[in-house]
Amino acid sequence: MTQPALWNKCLGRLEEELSAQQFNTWIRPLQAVQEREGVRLLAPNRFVMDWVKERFLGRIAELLGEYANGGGVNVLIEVGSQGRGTAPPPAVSHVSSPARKRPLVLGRLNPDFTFESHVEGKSNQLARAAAKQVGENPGRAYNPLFIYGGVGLGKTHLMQAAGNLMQQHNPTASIAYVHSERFVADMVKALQHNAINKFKRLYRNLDALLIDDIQFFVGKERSQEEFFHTFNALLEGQRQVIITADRFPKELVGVEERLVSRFGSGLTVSIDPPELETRVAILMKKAKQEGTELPEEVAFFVAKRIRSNVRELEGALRRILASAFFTGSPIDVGLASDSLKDLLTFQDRLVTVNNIQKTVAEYYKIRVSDLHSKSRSRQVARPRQVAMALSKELTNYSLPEIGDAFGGRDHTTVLHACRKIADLASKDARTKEDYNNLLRILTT
Amino acid sequence: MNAQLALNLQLKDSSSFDNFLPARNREVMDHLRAAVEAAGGNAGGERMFFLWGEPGTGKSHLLQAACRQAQEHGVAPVYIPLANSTEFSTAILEDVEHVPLVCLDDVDRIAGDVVWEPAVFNLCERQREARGTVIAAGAANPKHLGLRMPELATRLGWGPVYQLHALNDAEKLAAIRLRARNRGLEITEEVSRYILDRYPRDLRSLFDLLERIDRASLASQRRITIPFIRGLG
Repeated sequence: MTQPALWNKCLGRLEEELSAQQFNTWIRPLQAVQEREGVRLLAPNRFVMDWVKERFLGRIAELLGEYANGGGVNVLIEVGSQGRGTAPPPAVSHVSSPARKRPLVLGRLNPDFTFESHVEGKSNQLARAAAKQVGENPGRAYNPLFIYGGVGLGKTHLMQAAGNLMQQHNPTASIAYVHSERFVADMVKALQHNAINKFKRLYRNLDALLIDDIQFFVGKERSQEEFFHTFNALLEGQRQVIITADRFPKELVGVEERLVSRFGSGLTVSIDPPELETRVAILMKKAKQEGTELPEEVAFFVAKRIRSNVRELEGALRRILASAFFTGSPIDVGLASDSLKDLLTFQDRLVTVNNIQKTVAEYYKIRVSDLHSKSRSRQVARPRQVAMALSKELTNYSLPEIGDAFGGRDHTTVLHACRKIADLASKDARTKEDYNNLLRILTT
Repeated sequence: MNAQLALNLQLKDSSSFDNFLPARNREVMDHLRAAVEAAGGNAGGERMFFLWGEPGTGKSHLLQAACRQAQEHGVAPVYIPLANSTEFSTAILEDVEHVPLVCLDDVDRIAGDVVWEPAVFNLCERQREARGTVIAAGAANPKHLGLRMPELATRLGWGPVYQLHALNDAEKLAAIRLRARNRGLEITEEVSRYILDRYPRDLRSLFDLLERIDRASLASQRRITIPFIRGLG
């Protein structure tokens, strides 16, 4: 039996023994490698490795031994991953050991973010022109270039488009894109591992640094200080820095004054939310990139409903295209409307029996207490039956619980009410209309 | 002693796409399968996928099914139940961008958390850069999760967002019988209806009940009838 087959057997058994959550969280991410001396398990990180080692490794070794015809199997666990095909490459090739740390790697540019794939509109005209200038003449045109605007308006796209243009003109240039959150996290890690000098060298030797969402530096003094020195070193060497933030530099309360004034020493440009026509153009362009023609009326329908940011527009578009593909439906306003519901609707708390009783009582102009009462008069009994049927349809309460909520009635009464209303709704238009009206009121 | 024996002999209900009753959630299931298939590859495919819905609509089931499918295709996925985030630290997210598929369950549970939100945001960024796939699930859509970081909300909604719809009673009946069959249990339609009419009807409670029935029936060696279920209390 090959070792992976042995591991698969072990997996099968562990899946039986552990809860689904435990199994999926701690066992599934492990990869097994067959070695002459035994089995080496690879965990995605140190945390998972330590957790497995402490809680499950003994049992794993026991099971592997049992499946290897009772012979003892040596089991090792360490951090690492087996590179497979096009999967993201592990930091260290093949297998890494816990003793070897993953090297500090700077963020790469995303080749999808180019000026060609960017949609120009009034809201981003100036920022786009500035970014293009910087891409053509890094270090000379505007340094630093500070782009600010709300979430999801395309700041990252423009910044990376400038970076990609620089790279196109100078393929050997070392250009890094890094999110501020990542800068902070990497710096903390570098401090923990006594690698701060390496961290500094890495950043200060760049030809261009693109740093996104600088507002993440607010209140983080040590990161600000480190960034200040990096920033100065790059600027002095006439190397390009592009910064983005969700607000104007002077509004970055909690960021040191000297840093704020340096941010404003180049060019500061804003990006506003895209106007309707730009949103439509973005949707149509993105659809084209996916190989689909989006009908203009659908693009307008979506663009009118999603105003605030481009990421949401993209999410909506992906969903609409997928819905068309998986359901075989044409891309029209109806399909778009259904798809957008999932993206935009607010799921209120679950409908409760109390809420149903209140709504039904209001609808039929009776009191809630009538629904609880013993009264069998038709004006009360029919609404009560409707309310019971709605409770069964819209809540997960058991029938005895529903009966209790209607003045302590038996579950068979609830069952009778449900059948009665279903029967009436199929014969009587008025009952059907009432029921559907109430259903709509309660669920929208 | 008998109960102990019964426990060891039980079949577990491991989550897979095959034992998920899709009903109105057919499209999301098919799309999710395709996304998992593409995870780690160079071909198109979704990089971000978001599921939301009421408790018991099958979010965790689908995430775990996605992990199973990925593993069957040779990808070791990462599954992080954020409802348990207090039990472990954000270190669980470190280096996972080297994994092609990361599933984040119960994202709503970290809403407002000043440590977890940036850490998940950071993970989304790293995963995007590494061209990996993130499948996340929560109680509401990304806009309404109550996150303090709008940057995180927009990233979670960058790909397709699907609401999972609860099953109606007829579908629940089918789900109970499917789950029972997978466990090797014989449950008649009459018994299934009795269960639906007498017990809380959310799927989680129904499946928990099924497990109790299975255990009791195995321990007592009795057929599953209405009087038997009534006897469980």
